[in-house]
Amino acid sequence: MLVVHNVHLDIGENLILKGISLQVGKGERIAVLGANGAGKTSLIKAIMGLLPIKSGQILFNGKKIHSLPPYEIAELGIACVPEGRRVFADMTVKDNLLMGAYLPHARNKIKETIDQVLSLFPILKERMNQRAGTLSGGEQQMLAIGRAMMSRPQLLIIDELSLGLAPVVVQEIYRVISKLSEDVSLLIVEQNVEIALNNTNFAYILEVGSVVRKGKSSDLLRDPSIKEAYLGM
Amino acid sequence: MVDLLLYLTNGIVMGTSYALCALGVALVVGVMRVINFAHGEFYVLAGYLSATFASALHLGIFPSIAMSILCVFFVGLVVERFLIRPTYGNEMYSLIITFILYIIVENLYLFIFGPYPQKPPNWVSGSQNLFGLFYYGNQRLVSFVTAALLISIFLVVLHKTWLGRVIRAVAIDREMASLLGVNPTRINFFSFGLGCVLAGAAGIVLTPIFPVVPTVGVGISLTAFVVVVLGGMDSFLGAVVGGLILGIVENLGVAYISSGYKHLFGFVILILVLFLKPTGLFGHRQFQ
Repeated sequence: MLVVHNVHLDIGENLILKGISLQVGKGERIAVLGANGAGKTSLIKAIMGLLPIKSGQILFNGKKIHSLPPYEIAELGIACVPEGRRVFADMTVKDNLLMGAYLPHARNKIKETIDQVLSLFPILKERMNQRAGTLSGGEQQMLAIGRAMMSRPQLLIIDELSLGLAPVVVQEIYRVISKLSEDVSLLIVEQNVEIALNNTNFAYILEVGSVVRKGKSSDLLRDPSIKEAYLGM
Repeated sequence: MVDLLLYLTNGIVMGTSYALCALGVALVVGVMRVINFAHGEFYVLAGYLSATFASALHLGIFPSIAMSILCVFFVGLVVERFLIRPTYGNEMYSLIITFILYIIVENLYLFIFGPYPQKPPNWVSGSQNLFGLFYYGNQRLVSFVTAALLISIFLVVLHKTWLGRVIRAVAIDREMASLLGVNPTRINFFSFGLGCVLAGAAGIVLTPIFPVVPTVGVGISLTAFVVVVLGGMDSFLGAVVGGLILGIVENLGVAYISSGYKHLFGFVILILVLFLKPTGLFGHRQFQ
């Protein structure tokens, strides 16, 4: 479904991505792992059309998307929860969710989708008329995921899912995500290697702009070298 | 006491129009981060057009108003497309280009319409006895009600419709809005046109009371900027409250101190507010 092929990207003088390739198939849960500065967020920005790539290809359902603007990429069915959540702080929770359903194909099914999203995150139901900026960090992350789901995406990308959140909240969010329908493929970017490997089928590990390891999440979880490098065991 | 009530009434009536005009600035600044120095010129354009359509083409008052607003919207769109869009990403360029536009347009008005004041016909005539204390022109009352109604409609659209929701989202975080499928360039285009219409609407309601001359535009722009900074750059409600405050303060100042300092009072209030609350009365963000 999503194919990233040999992508190079630079910001100023710095080569940020050095020939990255990865794939997300239909219904798959994929993790992209790595430390700060590995290029994870730049990769997501490149997929979403926020950063121009220098060479390589990004395809979605066979269509080249690496020269499209973000709003056209969104229209093809990719939704994104960016790093830092980026909820519209001055707008109500309800308006935030509605904004997620901006695209015509989502706007037609707004009632149905909003019920689904609220059943996944019941806490949002109680907060509907509250300003999004007044929510806690975990609630904002749930809202950001809910907002992305409102567009009825084929592929949901979540950048730095657990960043800055309490461990219980992270557990709760992963529990909800594991309940998402198989129609939605997932690409999760994480620094928290253990929880990400526990909740995905396949993972890529990035180091300074290159994929250094890839494999089934369950295999990586048992791998002694991974344990040592990323799990501190 | 009677005098005070009269000045307060004047202040509220004027302030409502200031608010209407300032909402246009708040919209354009909020969505595009563009300071449109020619904002007041759209007020003047609407004034001249409604006068001209009514007198030269013998159209009725309301058809000439409708046509003027339509023209202002169209001119605003053309300005956005050909003058503002090439400057995206550099606020200094748009500031300079709208400043040049203001000078050119002001001289065009002088060239086309001449230096003498012109005014569209009054919508109504006569006056009302207010509070049993003083007589007040019906046109002023009708202008006030119209401005207040337009402000209410604008705020309802902003908070209850898709268009308004999208405009607010783009104003808060345009990159995030684009990730949700919003084309920000289209929202810029439309918002700028709508901002010009708000200036034009203020011109429509005020020019029957205060005839236009080619040079009033810059004063209107400055007043609108003061109102927006006073209320808080990122707050539409702030623009409304700021407009009312400025209208009242100006009128009280003119009445009790001197009409020579009319524009000074606004700036004194502005400095005081910025000193105590740098984001403006209702603002959250400070703009760089």
